[in-house]
Amino acid sequence: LGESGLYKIAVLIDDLRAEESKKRLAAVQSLPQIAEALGADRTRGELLPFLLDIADDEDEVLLALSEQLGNFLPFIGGTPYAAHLFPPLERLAGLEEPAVRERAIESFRKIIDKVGVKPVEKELLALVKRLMEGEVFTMKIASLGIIPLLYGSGSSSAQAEILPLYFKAAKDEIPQVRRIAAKNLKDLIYACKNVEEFLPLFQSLCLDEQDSVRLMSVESCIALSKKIPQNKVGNYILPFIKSVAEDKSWRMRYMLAEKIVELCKGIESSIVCKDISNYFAKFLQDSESEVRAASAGRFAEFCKLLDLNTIVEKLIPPMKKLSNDPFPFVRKSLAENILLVCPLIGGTHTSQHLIPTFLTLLKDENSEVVLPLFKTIGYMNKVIGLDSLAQSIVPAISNLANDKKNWRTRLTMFQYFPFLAQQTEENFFNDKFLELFLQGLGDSVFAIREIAVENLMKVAE
Amino acid sequence: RPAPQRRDPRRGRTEGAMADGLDWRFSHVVAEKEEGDVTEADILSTVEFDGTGENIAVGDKGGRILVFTSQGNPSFHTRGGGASTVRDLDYRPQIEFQSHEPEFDYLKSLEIEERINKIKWLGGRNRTQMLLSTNDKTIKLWKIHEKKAKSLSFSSSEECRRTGGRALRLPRLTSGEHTITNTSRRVFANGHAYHINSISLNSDGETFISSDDLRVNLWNLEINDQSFNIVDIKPANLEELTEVITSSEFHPFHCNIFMYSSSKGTVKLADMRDAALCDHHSKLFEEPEDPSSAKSFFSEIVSSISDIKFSRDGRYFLSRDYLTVKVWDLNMEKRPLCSIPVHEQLRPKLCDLYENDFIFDKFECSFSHDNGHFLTGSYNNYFHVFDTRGRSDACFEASRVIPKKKLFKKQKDIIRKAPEDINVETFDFRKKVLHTAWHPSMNLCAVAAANMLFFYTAS
Repeated sequence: LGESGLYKIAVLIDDLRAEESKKRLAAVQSLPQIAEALGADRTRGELLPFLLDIADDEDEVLLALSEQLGNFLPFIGGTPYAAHLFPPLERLAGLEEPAVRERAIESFRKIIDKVGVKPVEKELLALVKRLMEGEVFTMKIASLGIIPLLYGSGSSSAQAEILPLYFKAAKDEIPQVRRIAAKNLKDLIYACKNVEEFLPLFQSLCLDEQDSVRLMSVESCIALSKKIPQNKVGNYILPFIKSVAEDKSWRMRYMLAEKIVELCKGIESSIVCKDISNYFAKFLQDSESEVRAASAGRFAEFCKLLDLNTIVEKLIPPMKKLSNDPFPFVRKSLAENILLVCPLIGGTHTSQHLIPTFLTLLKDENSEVVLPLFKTIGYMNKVIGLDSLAQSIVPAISNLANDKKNWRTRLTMFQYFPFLAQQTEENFFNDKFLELFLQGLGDSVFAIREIAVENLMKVAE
Repeated sequence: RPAPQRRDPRRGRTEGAMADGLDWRFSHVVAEKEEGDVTEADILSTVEFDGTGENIAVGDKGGRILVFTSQGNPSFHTRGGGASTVRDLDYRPQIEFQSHEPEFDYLKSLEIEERINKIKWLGGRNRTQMLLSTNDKTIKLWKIHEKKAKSLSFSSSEECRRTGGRALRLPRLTSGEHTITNTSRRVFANGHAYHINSISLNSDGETFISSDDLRVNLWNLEINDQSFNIVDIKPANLEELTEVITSSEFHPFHCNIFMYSSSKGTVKLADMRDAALCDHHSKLFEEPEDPSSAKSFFSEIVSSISDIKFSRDGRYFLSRDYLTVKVWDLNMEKRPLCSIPVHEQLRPKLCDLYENDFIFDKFECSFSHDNGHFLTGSYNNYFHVFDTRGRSDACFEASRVIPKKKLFKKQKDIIRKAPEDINVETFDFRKKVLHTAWHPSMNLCAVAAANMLFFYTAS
């Protein structure tokens, strides 16, 4: 490095403590250059301690610093010295701004991924313990974020030391700490060898008085369901599902409705058909509209887990009522999903049960409810063919494509024409829709003409 | 049905009798200015102790926040098992900063005042203190922390030049003095079309509600560009508007329960677990109308609730309207446990008070730490300490003027008013105690009068 090269680096070093935050940010982003100029030994011995001191800075700078440290292994001499990066990262992980904390923990993850747990286990364990004893609760939260990184590949003695710390934090009086303990529990469960150890903690978190903590239990349960032996499912998973399905808090029921398909993957299909389908049917009729919308959104996916009888007898009746739901977003959710079920139940049932609902939705006064139907119309076409319905479908599409009041409705309809072309037979499309589509090329709103042109190719194909 | 218990203020109490067992003394006063220097901007608009009681924040009409701390003061002693006697707490200024600036709403051609309406402290953060402050439109999250001034022992680039560009040296950081500084962490703006009257933090430590005249919004402390509306009482036709929301508060430890009061004298309890939109209350607290009392145009105005406060154990709450304070049990919606008149002598004067707009003054109330007493203000810089059964009423004056007749030799500087001394004809209605606060764990009260903050203690 020539004279000017070193000088530039020296200026960068000064900039790390400049008055203006922009300069500090630029300097932090140039840390690799500074480190290269100093060399690995000096970087470890002088630069890292220097960086430790700039922890009371602006969020932007701290975010950049957290990120840089995650990629700093090559500059400090590689794997043997990985632990040198921990002190500044430890400081950053314990700060109160969540974005900075998460970036620091992400950097921990990167480093551990590269070097493995073994070389740094001692330092990580000490670090985790220190953070747990921290005077600010955000340090405990950081510790709870680092423990899962360490646990899976850690030695059994390290694991034995860590778990009590985690369990203690899960009972902390500060709700934010308990919430993170509940949130990260799933990572521990996935990595563990003996899932039974975690059952008591899981059950106590399910009973936490704070909704924010209980909400996290659904994800933990999904993890449990994947690791628990089948004969224990009845003891732990099913009671959990029952209590959440009947929980007074709509947010819990909502979470369950959202995640129920994942949860059921670990459960025998006969149990799903017999018991869990009842809860799902209840969700479709829940008093809270958000729960109804969430379950309508998972309708088709859930039906894939069931046999035909269960679908027709237990789920189709409540689903039908949703087409008259007072809330448009619930009806929209239904419209997006209903036709995906056609292949699952076959032609006869489709005609008998789904067509009436489909026709009701087709006539909905809210265009946002009607439009999603066309995206999935191919599923119905495969099962029963659309000719018989042409009388209803064509006017509906025509109305939407010619909606004078709202050009955005026309726009969305034109965006869906390629789907229509793809999912229906060529004759059918040409016969009923081609002219309508070509009209779009002459629409007064440019966005529609643009879409029509873009889709012309797709439709032609 | 028996009428709610009412206390007759004309029943005399002698200075000697202390049925409530509290012996109040004046402790000290802060934020004093010479009378001539006091401007409208200095008038205090809110007072709030933090969770430990070690710090107290006040906001003023000029949009400033002043924080006083009792920590680290030479007169602060701990005795025995760490419990300090109340007399030792001395609040000294810690930091003063501008929280809100006056703004202009161009769309409605309205000025947005910088006056701080409410301050709420976040809990559990040891050395770093965080508080939420709000004016009519914008809520801000402030962090108050120590900053160590650090300086470089030398400049690296100068060193480099000195050695002809051959050496690179890293300076050392030397710590300078500690200063207390404030940083703005979040700004929660554009959440309210109407004037914000309250903010309240949830026991989960992560969310809070804010309420204006017609709506209550739920926020997450970490997300400042989104908020959920959970109560909306705006009628489809604004001309049909008959009531507005006046105050709201979260339950101290049930994360799903909050309550809000209205200008019609009702308090509604809402449960966030029931539904996403909490328009339907789960409990409604309303005192039954007294058929014997005459209803006047003013009786509706004075029934508007200006403040509600949960007790620390979450089983009771207070509601303050213009003339009374009511103590309610959360489990009894039909009527309050008792309804205590604060300055009943004003009832015949409501017409005059309406003419001067004083009838719209919003008095606050404060529960004691042990739920045994509460505190509320009145005119003439008077304030009252009641016990929650409504059996005792001690009236004091928040003032520095010591009466010439030293009637109370033992009590240090506190000016107590016997009921017979309270003469509303001589009341100065421009002098009022609207904002008060009670220490979270001891018998120590902060009373704001104009620009001054008075501290009183009791054993």
